Amino acid sequence: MNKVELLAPAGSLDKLRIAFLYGADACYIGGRDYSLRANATNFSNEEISEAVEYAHSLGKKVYVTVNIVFHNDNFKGLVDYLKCLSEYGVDAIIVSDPSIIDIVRDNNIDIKIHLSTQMSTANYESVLFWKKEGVERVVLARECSKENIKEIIDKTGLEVECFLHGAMCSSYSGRCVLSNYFTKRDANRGGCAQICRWCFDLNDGNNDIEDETKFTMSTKDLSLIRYLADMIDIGITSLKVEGRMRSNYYIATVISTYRSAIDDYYDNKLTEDKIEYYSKVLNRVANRESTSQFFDKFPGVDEQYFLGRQEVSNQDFLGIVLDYDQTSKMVTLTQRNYFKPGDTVEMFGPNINTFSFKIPDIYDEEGNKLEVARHPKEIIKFKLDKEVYKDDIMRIKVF
Amino acid sequence: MRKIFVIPNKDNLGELLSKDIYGLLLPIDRLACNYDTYFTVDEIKKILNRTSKEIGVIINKIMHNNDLVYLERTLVELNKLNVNKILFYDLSVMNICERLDMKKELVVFQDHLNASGESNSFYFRRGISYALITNDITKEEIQEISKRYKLMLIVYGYLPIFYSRRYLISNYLEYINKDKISDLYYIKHNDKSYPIREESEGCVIYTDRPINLINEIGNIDVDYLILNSFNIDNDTFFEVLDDYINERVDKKDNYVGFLNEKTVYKVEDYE
Repeated sequence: MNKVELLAPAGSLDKLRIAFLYGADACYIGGRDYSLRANATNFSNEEISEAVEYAHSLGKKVYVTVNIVFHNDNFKGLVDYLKCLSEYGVDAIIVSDPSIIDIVRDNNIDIKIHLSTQMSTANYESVLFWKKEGVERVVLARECSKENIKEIIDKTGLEVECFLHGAMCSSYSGRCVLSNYFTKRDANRGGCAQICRWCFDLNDGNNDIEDETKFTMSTKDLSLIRYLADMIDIGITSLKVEGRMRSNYYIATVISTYRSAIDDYYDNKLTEDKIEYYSKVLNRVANRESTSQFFDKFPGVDEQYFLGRQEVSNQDFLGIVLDYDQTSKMVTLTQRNYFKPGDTVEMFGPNINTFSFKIPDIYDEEGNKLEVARHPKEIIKFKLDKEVYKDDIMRIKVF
Repeated sequence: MRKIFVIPNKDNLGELLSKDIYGLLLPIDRLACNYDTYFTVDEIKKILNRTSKEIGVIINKIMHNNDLVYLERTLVELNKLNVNKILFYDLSVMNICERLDMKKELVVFQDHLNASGESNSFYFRRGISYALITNDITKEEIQEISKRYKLMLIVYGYLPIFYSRRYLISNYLEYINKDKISDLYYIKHNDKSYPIREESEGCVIYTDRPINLINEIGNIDVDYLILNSFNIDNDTFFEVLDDYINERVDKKDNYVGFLNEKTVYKVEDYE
């Protein structure tokens, strides 16, 4: 049986490494040009090559987004770039502008094409159109319901990728250019300024609607942990986590949680209790509330944000392990948020079962005893009997 | 003379039929979005009986599976009529038209996705007759593309700039426990008011004012000009329409969107 693919975002090589380490089967990344998230650091050609080599050494995949809506002057260098991606062995490119299909074909470039969600594909006839064009996978619109997705898979036989977790656009993708007309930043070329999260006065044509709660198009995030089994059962090929701009901690937490849940599913161990626990972990790392959005119902007022929306800056991430000395049993980590001896924390990582413990005496790099760890990126050492590994993560124990 | 198409509403339809325009583009009921007036197949038949002008049918909503049976049935019906053009957004329309071997002219009608010569090339190589070119690019870019492809361009009207499947107005009013009194509201930002309209297909937000390219159109060689009467009073609309029919520059400082100014691709290029 082919296992469903867990597809992670990676905004940098470091994030890609973390995503793979914590259980992603594939990562999607953007190059310096031609990719939405135009203002992110993104990957140089050399970094893409390195990412692919690293992924393939682990038996994993890298997809590269080439998903802007091209204007005439954006095509410069594109053919050479696509040839490079092919030579690097990139597993597929994710495109929204259909012209790329012809450019790949006309130039005999050997690379697979996935259709981006920017095309808002939500029906099997459209998928059949793209299948005839040689597209190997379609990323479906986030507006698709479970029944819609299943019917598309059943009637087309094409690989389908669906969003599993992360932020939602309020608009159909590709049909929002609010950023263009409010800020001049080109939404379909990666300049989205998230106007849908702004607050506005709403006027009925004569009067402003008087209320302390302002109008907004803002939506809650997507989380389908409770529908993971359904998503696998209906035959989705790839489950996508949104967020190329997210932190290492977010990536590690979300990917490791879904990795565990997917493995539990195939081992027949995905119990309600586990889903409840995973859901709490995911909610804790998010900065917004999440819902299942369109997957199980038509979303209404409860799937949007109005007054009371709180985007919390998460302080749970305490540190990342740099080293563990088996002889002295000393952990060395870099601090990310405040902690002190006596705090109850937990360690999680790809090679350990999550466990909790009380912080013992802590020391700085020179061995001086500290009362608190308060400086971000400070090197901290303490003794821990259980073995941990590089890149394991220490967080506040909340559940 | 340029070929002028108008997207009508039911109030101005009668007068439009007497105007010296090339044709009408009719958003079709249940399969179109972004407009305030939609026409059933029966209504389209009646219009066809009243005029010899070209008729295009706009089918521009995002289709879900449960739209497809009705979509195909509608396309079969339209194929029997003297409709000239099918203007589509969703590729399901193209796929079904191909399967039905429809003889109508197909027009790719994606308001914000068709922005380059290469993207036009893709669709023209697959047999479409015309393409709507986006208003998000400059006149120099449009001009360059128009040398190779037969284009349609919206030259007058409010532009839809956001289309959500959600009922955003209803959701908000439900949240604050107030009644919805209209389908059309306005969101306000920096002294500008942007129309937001809720319909069965979701919510659409438009530019804060209509674009009007009358003073620029002499420099742009597109085949078809589209004027959209959504949210425009009849007097104003027909005054503007006469300007286009008579190719009369109006000397006003009209809003032209991004015709003379590129959108910002990367913020660092802008700063």
